[in-house]
Formats: sequence, C-alpha cells, structure tokens
Amino acid sequence: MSTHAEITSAPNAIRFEGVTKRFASGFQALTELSFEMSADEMVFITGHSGAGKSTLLRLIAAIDRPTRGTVYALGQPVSRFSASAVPKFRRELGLVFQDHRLLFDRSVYENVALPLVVAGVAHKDIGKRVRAALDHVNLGSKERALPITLSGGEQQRVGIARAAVAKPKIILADEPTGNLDPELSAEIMQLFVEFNRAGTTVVVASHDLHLVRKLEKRVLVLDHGKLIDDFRPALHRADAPFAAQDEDHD
Amino acid sequence: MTELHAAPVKQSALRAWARSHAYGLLSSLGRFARQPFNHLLTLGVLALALALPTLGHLSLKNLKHLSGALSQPGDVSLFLQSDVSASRAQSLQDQVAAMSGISGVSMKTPEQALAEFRELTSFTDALNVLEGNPLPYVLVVTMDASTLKSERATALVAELRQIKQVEIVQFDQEWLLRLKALMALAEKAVWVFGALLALTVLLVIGNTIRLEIAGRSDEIQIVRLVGASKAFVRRPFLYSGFWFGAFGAGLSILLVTLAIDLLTPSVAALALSYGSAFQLQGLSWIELLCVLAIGTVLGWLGALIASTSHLLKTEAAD
Repeated sequence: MSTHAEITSAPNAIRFEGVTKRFASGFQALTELSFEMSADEMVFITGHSGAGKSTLLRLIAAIDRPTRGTVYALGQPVSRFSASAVPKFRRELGLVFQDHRLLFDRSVYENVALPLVVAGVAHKDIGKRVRAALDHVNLGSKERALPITLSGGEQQRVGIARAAVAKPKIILADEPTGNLDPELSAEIMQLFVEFNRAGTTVVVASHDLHLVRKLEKRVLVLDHGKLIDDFRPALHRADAPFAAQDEDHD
Repeated sequence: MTELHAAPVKQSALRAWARSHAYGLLSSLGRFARQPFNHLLTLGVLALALALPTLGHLSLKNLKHLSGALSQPGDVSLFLQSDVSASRAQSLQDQVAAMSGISGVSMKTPEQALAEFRELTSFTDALNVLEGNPLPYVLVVTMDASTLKSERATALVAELRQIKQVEIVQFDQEWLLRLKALMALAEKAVWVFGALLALTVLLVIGNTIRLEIAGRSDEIQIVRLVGASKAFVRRPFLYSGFWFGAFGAGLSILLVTLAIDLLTPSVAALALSYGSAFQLQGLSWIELLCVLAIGTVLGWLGALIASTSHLLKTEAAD
C-alpha cells in the first residue's frame, strides 16, 4: 500500500482544472471538475449512466475538448493541443472500450500490432512485443484467430493487449467489463491492476461497484457531471463509503 | 511481462516514416490483390479513358509522319497578266525574291513556255494556228523548306495572290497545307479531349477512393485513437489511388498496343499499294512512360482530393 508521502511525491499524470463540458445539444456532461491523479495511481470513475464517466475519459484522450477549464496529462495541457499534436500524445495512451473496437477483418495479431505499426516500430520488434502482450492476457495461442471467433472476454483481452502493447504511460478504460460476467470481469480488472503495478497510470470508468470496492483503489464518484466523492482507501480507510455494506472489507 | 514492459518505443523518425510508407504501399497493394474483380470495372473505365487520348495522339503522330514524307519542295507558279511587259516581269521577279521565306524565283518567258508546251503536249498543230503567243510571263517561286513546313506558307501564298499583275496563282502543295492546318486543329482537339478524359480519371479514382474510405471508416477511427496522424491515415488511400492509376495506365497501354498490332498489317498493305514503305508507329518508350506517369499522378491526385475532403469532414465532426 502506498503511503501518503509517496502519493504526493509522484508527478501528476492527470489534472483537471475547473473543467466543464457542454455538448452542442446543450447537455452539460461535466461541471467545474477539478482533481489530480499521480502517475502511480489506479483510479476508478463511477456513477450512474450519463454521469459523465465516458466524457471524462474522452477529455483526457483529447477526443473531446472541454467547454471551460483545462485538462493536463503527462504535464501537458491536452485540452489546448493543436490537432497535429494529438496523435503523438495518443501514442502515450492505451485506450480500452466497452465494445472493444477491434478490426474484424484482421487477425488478433494484427489488431494488437496496430499501435506499433502506427508508431513505425520495426517489423521484428513488433512480433516480439505483440507476442508478449498476448501472452500477458493469456491469448498467446490465438494470434492467428479472427476476433469474431473469440468470446466476449477474449475479445476484450485482445483490446487490452492492444492498449498495453506500446507500453503507454496511461491506460484509459471505459466500462471494460460492461458485457462480461462477474468472474471474467474480475480477471480483466486484475490485468489493469498488474499494469498499474508495473508503473502505468490506470483510469477505469465502471459502474460495477461490487468489483470496484473489492480492488481497494481510489474512486471518483460522479453524479450528473459533478464530482461528489473522491475516496482514497489507502488514506481514509475508516471513511470508506462502501465499508458499511461490504462484508468482505478488512 | 518483461518484453511488454521493455523500454518504450523509440527510433529515428526517418525510419519510422519509411516504414509507414512501406506499410501504406504494401497494405494497399494487398487489398488490391485480395479483390481484383471488384476493381476490374473501375480499371476498365480508367484504361479506356487513358487509351482514347493516347490513340488520338498516336493517330496524329502517324499522320504527321506521313505528311512529312509527302512534303516536297513547294513551288508556286505565278501566271502574270498577259499585258505585263518583259521589264515589268523582271522587276516583279526581284520584288517577289525579296519577300521573306522565299529561296528563289525563276522566270519563264512566254517563248520558253510555248516551247515547253509544244514539247509536252500534242497541240503542236493547234498552236501553229495561233497568231501570236497567248502565254504570259510566269514566275516560279520556290519557298524555303522551313517556310513550307510552317503556317507562313499559306500566308505567303495569299500575299502572292495580292500582287496586282498576277493573274493566277497555282500552288500544288495547297492541299498539304490544308491538311497540316487540320492536323494542328486536331492536335488541339486531342489536348482538350485528353484533358476531359484526365478529369474523368480523376473523378473515377476519387469516387472509388471515397467509397473505400467510407467502407473503412471504423478502421480509420480506431487507428486515429491509437495515435495515427492524418498523414498515416491518408497514406494507404494515396497508394491505393497510385495503384489504380498505375494499373489503369498499364491496361490502357495494353489496349493501345493491341489496337496498333491489329491495324499495322492493313495499313502496311494500303501503303504498299501506293508504293510507300510507310509503317504504323506504336508507342515509343518515352510515350509509354508518359502514359504510366500521367495515370499514376492522376490516381494519386484523385485519392488526395478524396481523402483530404474526408479528413476535413471528420475534423469538423470532432
């Protein structure tokens, strides 16, 4: 478990400063959001559907831009990037989606290799890295398979291997266990815990409170676009919001 | 795990750029090879659009070659009015000789002409009946070779017609000049026609690439999310356009060569019947390379237009 000193000494991986996001339709997804995440953290974003979890991740990945405020990632003002600066920044990220977003006309290997091909990695290094990533998610034997032949859990592990293959500094996952049964979900979450242990900042949006609670990581709770709780189990064990209803809690 | 968490990806930008180009070139060729029949119709249209102006150009080239072979020293005969005196004819000869584009002027006196006439025709008896010599002075004007080949020849003949004392101007090569003028017009027509068909190639390839982009919009979204630059997204499509242009041009060269091969024996037989050794000329190496270059450049350009407009659209949607 991290101590308080360790957390504050680690550099900020992500920082939101008074971030508001209002869509063209008039819907306000996020309101005056401010928080920081250090580089060694794994953070869950929870909240009801429509609370702004996905929007928050999209702002970090520079897919959307805030209406007001500034989003910093890796010490850079992501929300003020020019369009041409975004691709290079994205290569520092690994993105995981609920619907996997795989290319169904390409093999598992080619899907996982995509970020390396985009980054212009040499052919022989791509092979090594892709196999390592697939082994890591226990799909070493499926590299020639087409994604359509895989189960939902396996497809999501391909997506995770793709997100991790280029050794990103930050992994962002949007409801990565949304369509999976509890057992598979726990396996998937464990993968993220391992990436975080190896030094990657991990941000997971999830409404699976039971699973989130079990992993004892920091949790940001959103409600209608507002940050209503920032729970750090390592620091405020006694204040744990779920402690009362969680029998397994130690 | 150790491999996965090895040092972050780092390498020279140039090599990464070269790899990305190799990827674009080969992946687009691979997609081409995987569905050749889907592309056959498009390639057929491109080949025809490129073959038609090429054939037009070849026809002109052969006509020029033929008319060049027909060109002989062009003599213009000026029949002076019958009341022109010897001294006046002499001064006219000097005047005409001083005009530009003329290499020489010789004069035939009515006596010489009559003698010639007697020699060449069987009207000797009839001529004897005549009281005087009815033939006028004749100036035989020889144009220099460069004038004869240019449009100046027609103008020069017109100028000679303007001379007051000239009764009749006879110019045997006139039809050849008319042919040349027609060919100059046809050459311009081939250019216009060629430009229109080039535009067709551009639009056909642009539309094909647009459809290809639409069919792969999910893929484009995903590679953008993993950090692909716009140039990276665009590259396979540019190469795709390049291949369309190159294969279309190759096919058009094949068509043109076939057409020439089909026509050559008939043309040779026709030429032989006129006692000429004229042979149909096909595409030279330079022309062949030109057709390939024009095809590929048009393909690449069409793809550039289609992909740029798509990227601008998605940008606006972001």
